[in-house]
Amino acid sequence: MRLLPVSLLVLVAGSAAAQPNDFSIHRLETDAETTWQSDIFLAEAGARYWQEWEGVRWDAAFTYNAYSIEYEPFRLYDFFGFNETLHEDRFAGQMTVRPEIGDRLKVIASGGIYDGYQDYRRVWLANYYRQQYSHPRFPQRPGYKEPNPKGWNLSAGLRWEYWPELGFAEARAGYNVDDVAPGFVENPSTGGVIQGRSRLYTSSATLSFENVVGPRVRVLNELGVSDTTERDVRWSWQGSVNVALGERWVLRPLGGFTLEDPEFEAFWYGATLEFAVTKWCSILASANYYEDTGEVLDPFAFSSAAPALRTHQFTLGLRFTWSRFVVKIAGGPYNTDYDELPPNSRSFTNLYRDRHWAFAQASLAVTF
Amino acid sequence: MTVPFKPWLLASMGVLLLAGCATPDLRLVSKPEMQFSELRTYATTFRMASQLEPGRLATGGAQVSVCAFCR
Repeated sequence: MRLLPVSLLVLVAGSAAAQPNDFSIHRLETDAETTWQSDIFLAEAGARYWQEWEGVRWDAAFTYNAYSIEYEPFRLYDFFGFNETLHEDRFAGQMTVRPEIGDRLKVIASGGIYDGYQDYRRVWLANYYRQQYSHPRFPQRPGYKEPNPKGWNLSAGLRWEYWPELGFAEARAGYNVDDVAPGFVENPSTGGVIQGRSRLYTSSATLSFENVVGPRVRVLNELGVSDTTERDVRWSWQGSVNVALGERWVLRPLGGFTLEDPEFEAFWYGATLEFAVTKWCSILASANYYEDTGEVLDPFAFSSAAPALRTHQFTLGLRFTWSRFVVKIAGGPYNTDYDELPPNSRSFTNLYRDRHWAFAQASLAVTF
Repeated sequence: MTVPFKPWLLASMGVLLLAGCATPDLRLVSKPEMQFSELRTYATTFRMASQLEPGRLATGGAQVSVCAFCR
């Protein structure tokens, strides 16, 4: 991987450029999440380093994803497919700098790169097209190309503390370039296949307000808009509230929705309840619900688009705090429930079938 | 393209902007678990949501595109 050595070099150079006494805060956090069930295992692990120095905060983050899939075609509709074990990786790096340009104003600049599939669904779909058009027992169909997913992003913005400690506004604009695993359609006149668009450009903007609205309540409102190649504009909003119910109880509800013409809608809500058993140990319980209308536009056309989805997630966890160390572990069930696929798209039945996942999360943060 | 104009959303944002004019006791709201922290040890969000729930709002940068080829 090229991005890891480059990012590490930047990290080391940045640290070496300053004297030890100049640093006010260093923070290092590592975390890992896994989700699994009978035929799919997903893992994501990350490490992030923060430093605050002379009014500048910067951080560098590295993320690794692992996808393991026991691929199984839906044989009633897929005569070429065969069982196969898939393993794919994704590596990503992101760096963010936040210099202060006044008592209450910070600039935010961020950039990142990644190499690998963005999610397990794309791994599954890429293998479907590979088996259809580059089958090991048949000549490869003209026009088929192996996917090489990767991408980069840049964003910039401002964070304004418009009322000291009580009111914050943040605005960001971003640009993404993603090389995705493309789809293919057959060309009967040539016997080959035609590749769909593989490079996508996304422009986006977010506006958020964080406010303390009383001695016990902190509120965050986030509004996002994005425009991706060949898609309509997507609007999203999420509201989050942190409520101190007492000295030892905190309730953290959130909710949001997304709209994208012509037909995609999604909404979600959930809450986390935290109870400080002792000064060092807290118990966490959370429940989350998500629902969308799916991405199928024409139910009579062959399409790998996802049908409507509902998910339920329940989590129990513990967080331990010792001096400069914070450790959190959590886990629970995570269910995904898809609507039935249209008849012409049943080849993807095993991708979009209902699944009962197990979910586990662990993280460690240290400040020094 | 119809922009989903939500007057109640704008009104609630205005109320929140003005709410900063109060000066409450900040002891409870300053606790780490009361912050909207980027630290995953205090976050209520989880990484896997970006894979399993494609409509979620992406934060902290430009939004990842969602399966443009498969419709």
